[in-house]
Amino acid sequence: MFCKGAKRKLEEDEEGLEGKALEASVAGAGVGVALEGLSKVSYTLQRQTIFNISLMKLYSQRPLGEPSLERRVLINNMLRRIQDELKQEGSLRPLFLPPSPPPDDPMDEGFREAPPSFGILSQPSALLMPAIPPPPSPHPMVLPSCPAPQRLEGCATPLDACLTPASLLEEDGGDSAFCAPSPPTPPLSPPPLAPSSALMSKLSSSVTVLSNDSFSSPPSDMELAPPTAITRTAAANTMTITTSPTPSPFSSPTGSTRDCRTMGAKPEAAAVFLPAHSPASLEDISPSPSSPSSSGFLSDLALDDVLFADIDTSMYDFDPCTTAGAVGATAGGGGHAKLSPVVNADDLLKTLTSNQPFKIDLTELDHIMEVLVGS
Amino acid sequence: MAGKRKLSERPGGGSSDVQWCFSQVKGAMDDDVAEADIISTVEFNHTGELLATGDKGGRVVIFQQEPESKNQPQCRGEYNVYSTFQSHEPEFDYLKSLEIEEKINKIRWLPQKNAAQFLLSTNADKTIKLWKISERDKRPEGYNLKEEDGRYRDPNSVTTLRVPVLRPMDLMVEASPRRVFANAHTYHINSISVNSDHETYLSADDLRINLWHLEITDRSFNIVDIKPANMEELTEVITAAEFHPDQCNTFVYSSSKGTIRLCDMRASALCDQHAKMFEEPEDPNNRSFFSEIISSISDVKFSHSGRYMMTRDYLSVKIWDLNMETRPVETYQVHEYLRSKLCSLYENDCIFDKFECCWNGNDSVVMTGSYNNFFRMFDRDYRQDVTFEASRENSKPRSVLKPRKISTGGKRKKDEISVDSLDFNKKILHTAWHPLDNIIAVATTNNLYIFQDKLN
Repeated sequence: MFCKGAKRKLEEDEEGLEGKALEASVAGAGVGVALEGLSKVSYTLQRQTIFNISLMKLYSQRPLGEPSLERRVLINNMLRRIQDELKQEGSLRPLFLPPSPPPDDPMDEGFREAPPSFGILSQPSALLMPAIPPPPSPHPMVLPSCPAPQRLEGCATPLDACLTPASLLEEDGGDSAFCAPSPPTPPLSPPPLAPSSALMSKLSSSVTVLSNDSFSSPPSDMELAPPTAITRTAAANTMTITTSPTPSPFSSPTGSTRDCRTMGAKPEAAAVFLPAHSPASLEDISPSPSSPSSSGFLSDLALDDVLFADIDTSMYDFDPCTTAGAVGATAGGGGHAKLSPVVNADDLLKTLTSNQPFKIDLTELDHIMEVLVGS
Repeated sequence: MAGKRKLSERPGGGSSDVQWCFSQVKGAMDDDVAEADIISTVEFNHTGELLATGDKGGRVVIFQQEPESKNQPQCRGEYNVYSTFQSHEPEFDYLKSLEIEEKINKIRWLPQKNAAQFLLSTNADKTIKLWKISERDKRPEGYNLKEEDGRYRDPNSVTTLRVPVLRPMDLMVEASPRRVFANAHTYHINSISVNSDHETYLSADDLRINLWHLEITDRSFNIVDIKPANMEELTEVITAAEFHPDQCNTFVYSSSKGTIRLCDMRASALCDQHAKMFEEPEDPNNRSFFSEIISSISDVKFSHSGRYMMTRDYLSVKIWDLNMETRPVETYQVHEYLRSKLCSLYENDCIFDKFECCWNGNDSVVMTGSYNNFFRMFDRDYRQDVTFEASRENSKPRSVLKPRKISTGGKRKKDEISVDSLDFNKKILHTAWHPLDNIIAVATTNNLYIFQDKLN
């Protein structure tokens, strides 16, 4: 159902864009532009679809056990690639490039530039990104989608900055400066231009594949484990968090322990996330600072409180030195409580919002909420 | 000895003059497949006389080829059940549990040293067991202290002494676990490989490869470890590993990124540094979202000669010359028509299916499975390939297999099958080729098919 919601939005835009593309062609810009329009739409549509499928795969509970590490790694890599692509595209969005993009193969992952008429296109995909609830998973394998503090896309942000969500809450300028190469980004490895006939056949085949696919799975199968959707609004520079009670435990206790054991789980990560997935639903959305010290600069960050609302906070020593092996624990200063969870939550946020402010209507949030709750 | 007719004696030897015929099929006939009956591994022993299969219920079934009968010297013997045993116990009732921990992942035969046969089996609970399969066709009779039924006699009632004698009995095949190699793997074991020294073997899981001595169960040496310090940075796993057939210091392992690394154990104790890395550059015309996933290698097998190795990825089979790392010497497309369907196959998880591949005895033909119960053979000498189907419909004894064709274009010729009507639930993941003869074993979901080439 969530997938359908995403598609609906895209289809609206797609129709609009296809219409525009066709208009442009009618206006005399030539079939080439229409083709490009369609191919770009098709590429973005497929990418978004694959992104959604990948998330569902990773975070929905498989009926049969035996999780495969290879499968998860491959899906994770897929998600990361798409995220990186979206990040780079997202940072290009404000720039309106002359409407003569190189007619790259739509399947080319290095395809970056977007003509103005397609500037809108990146919005829905970007908008949809934070709408996809990121699950704080019980097993650390999921964490690859949350970059470790070291993995800040080549920026030199010290670990301290990662620990302070304030850096995340900073405006785009700061973020995009170190998160994306300066636009216009040349394709990383420009492939040879595909002849137009090949383009058409690929386009038709990929579109055909999409149309033949039926992504609708019964809602009962879609046990979206993630209980949290993290969104940001740029204007308010606050974080609104929507949570939903987990329809069923993310994984059976034996399953999760097995996962952790199989994964060679880091004890601290496991310790952080397992409690977060206790069957008790996180229904309390209203932020209630659970630790006074963390609320100092985290005043806008209700995420922390909500995610870990049901964690017994007595286990967290406010002494930063005792935080178990968390990255950047040594960077602590100023009474950072809950260093581990703060880092991980920030990483979640960082990845999934790609450091871009997004506006999401409350109505859309409600819709997502409904989907997650399964009502 | 079974399999007298050697491949090298046959004219041609390649698939150009070989006609494959149905020989036998083992397994239940009904379509309702129990999860526990799904065959998960197939392996001939070194003479080809024995054929072992493992299933998801943790059972091992060994078939033995009947000796060629004197009445029909042109007919090869049939394979009949020789021994059945439970290799790994399920932790839960497998009908109810969600975890199927007892699935046999791999079976490898040891070279025969005495009358008994030995095989290694591994399963998903991360233990490896060495089984001894021995025959017993005599039993002792006439004990002094025991009755025939085993009860002990009262020593006071013994008045005479006699020597027990061995009397023939019905053949009994016993399988007994001789070694259990446990607690060395954190992740699921995907490969085991016996070394040519016949003393050691390796076991590989997603992130590590361990070296064992067959006699020592409480200790293994880690020879490859690709686990990153931070699991969040994990992007590549080990998918298969094998020892070189002749050089006891050499082994290879493949990865989910389509690379194969060859390692020399003489270089260092921990072989994280490879001696050679085999990787083919990506074809820019075929780039897609799924390039990485379909490049993941599901199986790697050395040729019998030791000069080549074969890898299987999702769409193709590649033959590599060990002396050339830059690209394979041969590439065979198994089901290229699936390339346009990768998104669907990703969604239904078929893209993660792990197909195996195998060589024939003289390395001239390679074989691998596909969907719709199809399997493919590629003749390296004659540059021919053929597709066959393993189905009950073609299972009249000695009926010749008809090559199948898949139509990819618009027009479908008669007898062709269109891509859209392929059954992706019927997959042939496991195949095996008799080491000395043209006999192949092909496993569908829960049936084992045996085909052989037509003799005159």
